[in-house]
Parts: sequence; structure tokens; C-alpha cells
Amino acid sequence: MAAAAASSVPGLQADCEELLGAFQEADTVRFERFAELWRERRFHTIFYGRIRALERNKLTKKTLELAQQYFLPPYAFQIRVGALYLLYGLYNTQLCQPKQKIRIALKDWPEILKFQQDLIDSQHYDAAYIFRTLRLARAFHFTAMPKLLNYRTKKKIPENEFKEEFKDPSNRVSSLITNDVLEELMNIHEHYQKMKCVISADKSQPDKALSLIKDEFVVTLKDITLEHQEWQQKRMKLFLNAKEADEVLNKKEEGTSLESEGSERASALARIKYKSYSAVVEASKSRRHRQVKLESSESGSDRKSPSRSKKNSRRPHPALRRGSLEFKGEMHAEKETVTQHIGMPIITEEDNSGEEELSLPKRRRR
Amino acid sequence: MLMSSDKEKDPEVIPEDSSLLTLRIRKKVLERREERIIVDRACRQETLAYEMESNAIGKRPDNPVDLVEEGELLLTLNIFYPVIFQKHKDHKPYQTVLVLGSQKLTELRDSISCVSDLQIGGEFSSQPDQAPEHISKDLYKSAFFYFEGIFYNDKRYPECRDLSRTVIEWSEAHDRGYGNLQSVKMEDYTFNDLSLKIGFPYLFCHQGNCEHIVIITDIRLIHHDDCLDRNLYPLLIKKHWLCTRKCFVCKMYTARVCSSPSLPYLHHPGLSCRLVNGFGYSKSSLGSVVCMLCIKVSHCKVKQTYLLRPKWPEAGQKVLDSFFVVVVHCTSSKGLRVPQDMQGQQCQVSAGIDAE
Repeated sequence: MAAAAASSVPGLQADCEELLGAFQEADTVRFERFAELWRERRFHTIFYGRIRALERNKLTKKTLELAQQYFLPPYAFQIRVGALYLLYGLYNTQLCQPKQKIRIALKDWPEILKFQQDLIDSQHYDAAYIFRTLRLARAFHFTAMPKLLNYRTKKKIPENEFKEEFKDPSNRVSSLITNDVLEELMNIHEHYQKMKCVISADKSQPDKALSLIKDEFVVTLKDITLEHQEWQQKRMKLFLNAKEADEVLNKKEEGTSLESEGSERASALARIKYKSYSAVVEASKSRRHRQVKLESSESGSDRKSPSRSKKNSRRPHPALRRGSLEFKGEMHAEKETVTQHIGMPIITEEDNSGEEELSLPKRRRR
Repeated sequence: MLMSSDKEKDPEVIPEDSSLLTLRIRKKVLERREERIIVDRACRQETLAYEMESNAIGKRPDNPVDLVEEGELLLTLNIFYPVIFQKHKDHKPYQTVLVLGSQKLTELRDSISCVSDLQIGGEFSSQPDQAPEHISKDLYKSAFFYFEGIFYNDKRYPECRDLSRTVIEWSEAHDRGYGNLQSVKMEDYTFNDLSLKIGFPYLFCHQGNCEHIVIITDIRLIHHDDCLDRNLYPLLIKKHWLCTRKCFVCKMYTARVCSSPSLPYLHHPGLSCRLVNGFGYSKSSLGSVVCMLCIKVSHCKVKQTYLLRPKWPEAGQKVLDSFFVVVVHCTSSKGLRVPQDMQGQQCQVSAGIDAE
């Protein structure tokens, strides 16, 4: 009996990422370029080998599923276009008869339509044409869920760790503080000022007693957001450069080339914090059913920290200091492995001598 | 096509100098197989699985009324066999059925085939031919589906009972935290009316206590390449492979009758495809061990009767003509012995036994 298919096709992810990486480096979204890269690698042979029909169906399904994942956000625009071309190529060169289809979930469909509209607006007509061709060829299955359910309780389904470079850096600040939000805040702010004037004695300006907020705060908010974005881009470039340098240098030097002064301090702070937090008080015998458990704050809570420190940066001090400490510690821990996550700039009240990159002016807080 | 190059025409052969990791790995596997002379052929299970899956693809109905419309939903359900925990420790066998959104629940219910439906109640071993024809499916018609807190009972026939009443009364008796369970008629609902979770186990119960877990694995829109003949749905695309044993006599048909005890030196019970009076099945015991392979011992003192050969006799034909018999081994409580020198030899059967 044919060998049971592994839950993923071995080597396929590496091949796809290699192709998409080459396409990203080519820094273009033209189909001709992609086709050249495809032909170089003779990618259509990926379905070759003596595979019988049943196995081939499964294999093709998995291949298309893998390629389809790159087609959706949060990947960068260029990667998504590359994924579209990849899907086109795989769909047309597959050997199954009738052809296996590409599964698109209901929730992803509006994004894909938006993507198509973007393509047309930015005049990437070749990509738009490719997409249209796929649709006309009925290459899609419109499904409720993206992945077809299967039950493999024994085998562990490996977590797909996609390359960080492919992803658009997740910019939570700018997705929260968008232009619309700023505009609305501005409107509300003006309205508020007007109301204050109306009820004040002097009609031209509000009473002193009513000045409870900073007048310029909307502009300030916008500036902060822009600075954050710039910082993030700089950071990304730094990371990429460092990564390239790493590949040339010895592996031992990886840790040092990435560390900056800031993270040395971060490591010291992290050590102090770890010592203080790891001391767990033993409950007395009478309360032994309520032992205190030590929970590590570094356990994979990638997503929590940015929002946490962001929230903290808006509130007054006591929470802030702790938030920034915790976050720095986490930042450091991750740097020592592979930096999967770009840390946020931390607006601190402390002495900023160590933080060269964060050249944010101090702000008075109320 | 921009994609395909002209060099490799044969999709069976992996190109030598491939830069793709996938192909290198695949090639290694193939080479290892060749080294170890492992032959990789499609077995029966694989052939069946592939055939079932691809059988209905692209079918169109003769009558255009039966054409499935665009925008129809296609659900994929896994219907599990009733669980025997000892046997099903590693995996739970199931069958996969495709169902259209506009089909009623009763259509699915009718398409589920379960062995408990085929059972015949009562004791008929003394007159196997007189066993009644009607099976449990006709006698006990009640069934229900349970989806999202609602029991859909089959109420098409007057003899159908509400099997879910017990459960509802039980949950209402005390505050057991199961919320409001309702009971409605199965025939009034189609799949489009339900709100379902994918991957969540639901229940189908029939014959009073035969329970099947039902899981929905996929919902999608119907596609041009699918089977568009409404009459073929619910469509079975995957069935669990049941190992069957062949009849020990003819080695052709699947065994349906198992008689015991069998000859002591044989490891398996006596399996045959049919009941033949006198062949492994005899209500009267002449003090003999009755088994598949051995006719009951005759009363002839010199020649004992035995049997083993692949041809079933025609009705009315005497055994003598259609069998050559081989002395194997035979025990009986009457102490008739087989002479040693007769074992393994062809010999005459002295007492003919009529075939049924």
C-alpha cells in the first residue's frame, strides 16, 4: 500500500519560499520576471515522480493549500502578487485530471477582492489579468473554512513558520491611528473647543478652568505615529542588514552583532526582574492548597506585549515603568534566538542615554 | 504556456539535476525503494478509495430537472460507525458523504446504511430458511439527528416514535445546564435551514440505541466539476475498508456463515458463504463434531466421511458426484476413528448427503 502522506509535503515549503524570496529580491511585480524565475527552477516538475492518482490528488491539494496561504494578508504586497503567480503556475501545471482547485475561505474573499482592486488601481494589469484568468478557469472552491479538516491525532501537524521577511511588518499603531481616526479626533476636538467657548464668559476663548487637555494633542498623536513608523522601518532595515552580516560572519558572533547598548541594559533589567519575580513565597501549611505558582511572562506572549506597552505608554507612570521593563526583557530574550518580532519604541521617562535609537523628546505627562 | 518547458515530457521521471528540494527528497525515496526492491503497487484499498472519490466527478443528469443549480451548497459529512471502544482505540472508522444544502435531512437518514438496520430479531437457528424477510430497518423506523441543541425526529411514518423525548425529559428534570433542548420534525428541514459548526460532533441515533457521530468537515459552493446530478446525492465518497474473509470451501464468495466448533487443528472458525444442511450445519447431532470442513461422520464402519473441496454441489445433487474427499481429521464423540493410512487419501464417501 502506498505510504501514508505526511501531513505536509517535505521540502515544498522551502521551495516555495525560495522562489518567492527570489521574486521579492527582483523587486518587481511583473509576471515576465516571475515566469523567468519559474522556468529557471523548472518548477512545473514539482509534480513529477511516480505518483499514483490518489496520492497525486492529495499532494496537489496540499501544494495549492500551501501556496494559497501566501496569497492572503499579512504578507507584503509583492509576496502576495508572487503567490498569485505561483498559484497560477501550479494550477496550470498540475497533473491531476480533473484539476484540483484552490480553496478560498469566505472570510478571505473580501480581502482578495480588495487586493484585485488595488492591482487594477496601481495598473499592475498583468497580475489582474492572471487573477481574472484563474477565475474564468473556475480554479477556486469557495469554502467556509480555509483548510479542509482532517483527523490526524497521532501525527503532530507542524506549525508553519513562515519567513519573517515576507510579512509586512505588523504596524499596529498605524492601523489604530489611521487618517480617518485622526480626522475624526480633530473634528471632535474642534467641536469641543467650540462648546467650551460657548459656555465660557469670554466667547472668543474658553475659560482657564476648562482647559483640561492639551490643545495640540491630535497633532502630537500624528507626529508620534509617524515617528513610530519611521522607527520601525529603520529597525527592519537594521535587522535585515544584521541578518545578512550574520550569514557571512561566524555563528558565534550572532548574538553580539545584534545587540545594541539598549539591550544590554535591557538584559540587566531583565535579570533583576527575573530575580525578584522568581522568588515565590511558600504558602504556609494551613494554606497549602493555595500554593503560589510562578508564571513566566516570557512564554510566547508576543502579541500581548505591544498592546500592553502601548496602553501603558498612555497612562501615568507606575504601570509604565513595569511595562517597559517587562517588554525589554522579552525583547532581549527573543533577540538571542531569532528576532521574530520588532519591538516597539518605548517612550520612557528614564535616562535615555542607553537608547540611541529612541530619540524621542521627553513629554510632560499629566 | 509560459510554464512548461519542452525538455521533460515524461512526468514519471524526476529530472536529474533538479534544484527543487521537494524533488530531491522524492527522488531519494524512490531510490531507496529500488535499492530494497520494494514494489509499490496500488492495493485494493487504494483502488477502492480512489474509485469512490472520483466516481461521480463531472456527472450530469439525463433529466435537466435534476441538475443541481448554481449557488447550491455542498456539505461533506463524516458519519462514524458505532464505536466499539476496544476495537476502535487507534482510529474511529467512518464513511464520508456529500450532501446538498437543499436536501432534506430525511434524505440523508435514508442513505445512512448501518448494520444494525439489517438485523432480524428472534431466534431462528433451527429453521434458518424460515427467518422472516423483514429487517429491523422496516420494523423500527424512528431516528433522530441532533444539531445544535435541536433534535430532528423522523416522523414520516405513524409508527415512528420520538426517541429524543427521553433525553429532553432527562435534561429538564433537573437543572443540568444543557439549556433548552427542542424537538422538531426531520422532514421539515433542509440543510440550508440549519446553523452548523464545522468539526463539531453531532449525533444520529436510530434503532433506539444505535448512535453515530456525525461531523461536518467542509461546506463549499457547488462547482462546475462536481457531480451535478441531484439524484446521486447524498453521495458516498469514502467508506471504511472492512476486512472480509472468504468462504473456506469455494474461496470465491465472502463468508457469511460461521459455524463452530471447528476442527481442532484449524485456527479459524468454519466460514462458509452459505448454509447447507449437513455441511457444517446440522441441528441433529449424531454425536459428531460438526464443522465446515468435515461432513458429519457417517455410520459406515470402514470408510468415514470427510470433505473438503471448493465446489458447492448443485441443489439435489448428491455429494458423491461433486466432491472428491480428502481424509483430514475427524473427531466425534462416538469414538469413530480414522485409520491412519487413510489420511490424506482420496476415498469414497459412503453416505451421500443431499445438498439443499
